[in-house]
Amino acid sequence: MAHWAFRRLSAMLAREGFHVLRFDWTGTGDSWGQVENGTIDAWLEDVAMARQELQDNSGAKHVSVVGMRLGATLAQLACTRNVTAAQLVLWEPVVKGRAYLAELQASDVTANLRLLRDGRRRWDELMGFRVPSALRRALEDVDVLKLPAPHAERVALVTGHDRVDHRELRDALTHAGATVSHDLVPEDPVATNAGQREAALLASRSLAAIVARLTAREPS
Amino acid sequence: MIERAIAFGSHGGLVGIMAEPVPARPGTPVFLFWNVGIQHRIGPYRIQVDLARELARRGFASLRFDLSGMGDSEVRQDAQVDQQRALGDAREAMAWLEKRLGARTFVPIGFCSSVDSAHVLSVQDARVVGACFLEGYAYRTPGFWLRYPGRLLDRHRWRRYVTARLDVRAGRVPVDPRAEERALMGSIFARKYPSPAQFAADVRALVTRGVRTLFVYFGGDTDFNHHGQFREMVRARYDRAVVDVAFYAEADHTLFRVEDRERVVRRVVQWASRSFGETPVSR
Repeated sequence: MAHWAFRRLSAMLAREGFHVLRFDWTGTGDSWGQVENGTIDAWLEDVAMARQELQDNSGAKHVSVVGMRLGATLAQLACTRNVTAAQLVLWEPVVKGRAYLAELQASDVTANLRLLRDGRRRWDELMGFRVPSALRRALEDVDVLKLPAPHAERVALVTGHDRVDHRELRDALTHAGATVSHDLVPEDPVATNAGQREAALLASRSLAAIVARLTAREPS
Repeated sequence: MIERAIAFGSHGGLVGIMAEPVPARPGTPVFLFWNVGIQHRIGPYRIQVDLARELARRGFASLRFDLSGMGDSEVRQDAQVDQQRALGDAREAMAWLEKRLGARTFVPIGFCSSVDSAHVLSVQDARVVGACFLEGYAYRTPGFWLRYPGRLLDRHRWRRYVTARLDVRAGRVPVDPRAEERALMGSIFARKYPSPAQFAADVRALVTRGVRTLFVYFGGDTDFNHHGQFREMVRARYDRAVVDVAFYAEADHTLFRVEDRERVVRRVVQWASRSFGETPVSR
């Protein structure tokens, strides 16, 4: 799903004249390795490498970074370390790793039940992938509310629901000195089955909001 | 092994990832993967990436690509129905591989919905020398119905049923997950299957042509519940070297668990090595 959303987003941005590079994190999608070998440091290095690759190939002077869910969190983390961005777009970011893992664990239990798997939990797996304890601990320690301001001229927060943690993130970023916008973009009415969820994704207004931010226009 | 992204096809809009062994093994068939459902070329839980890489380690090249209009591939302008489009794309992939790699023979690997086009391609195209069908066509046979009541003894099913009822009654879920499941499975299995007689005839035709096949089925909520069901479906007993069948009762339809995927990857790669020769190469 994320692949399709980012493909659409990149096409929309290309039409606006941007060079776009999409990449899979180490151990995911087409990229080398397995999720279980992933580390937060390696993924942050991925951001820096992708930024450099895009600049080398396009000659662009300014690079913006867009991340979704944990990808947004990693993008923010990277921009507090060795990555500088014109704009940092945080699309439905994960704010606290501990809460995110709890969400995944709940989904994992439901999925196992739905798929008729036995009741023995696989403690080293989450949603179909091995997530070793070291990576779990590292993810649990993630709390972007405690981060300094990212090296970005502007930060755009794009979310579909009015959630407390996203408001806290907006406030924390502002408090840290970042220039922050927060677009609350309600998607189509709550989808009640898989087909409707796909339709909602394909009709995503969030993509339009992100493009509007990156082209410095106000979202309609 | 080497992996590289390629763009190909008559409209230049098809995108895929080649995995090639080092050193190359000219003369061996090239394995083909394309989209399962609406997912892009990596397949459910990335199994097609794992399969392609493991095949490359055993000396087999492969191409994982997106059909037109899916994943990273562009939409085709010609108005064709899904299966014709998929077959056209697969043939363009084969043409590219013939031209660039000198490949002459191919082995499509279908998984669930991608079995539809993999099946037709295998039957129609003489360049296909092997085919693997993961959760392919299944038909309910007397043996299936005999075992069907055994579901009532499955405590996991009862647990799922009771949990779903309680969740709906307590308002913990917005919609009955069983209804959602049925809708989802309905959309997955709403494909048009060949008739049982046609399927049996197609398998017979593949055997006559010497095509090596592997049919892999999983347990869970599918139409296949025991290993011997395949023989009932095709009404014949074939040499395992030509028609190989595997059944993983514990695995679910999407291979959610890592160990299930690893088991299936090992099985497919063993079959490939046995059927088309093996030369382990550098990782």
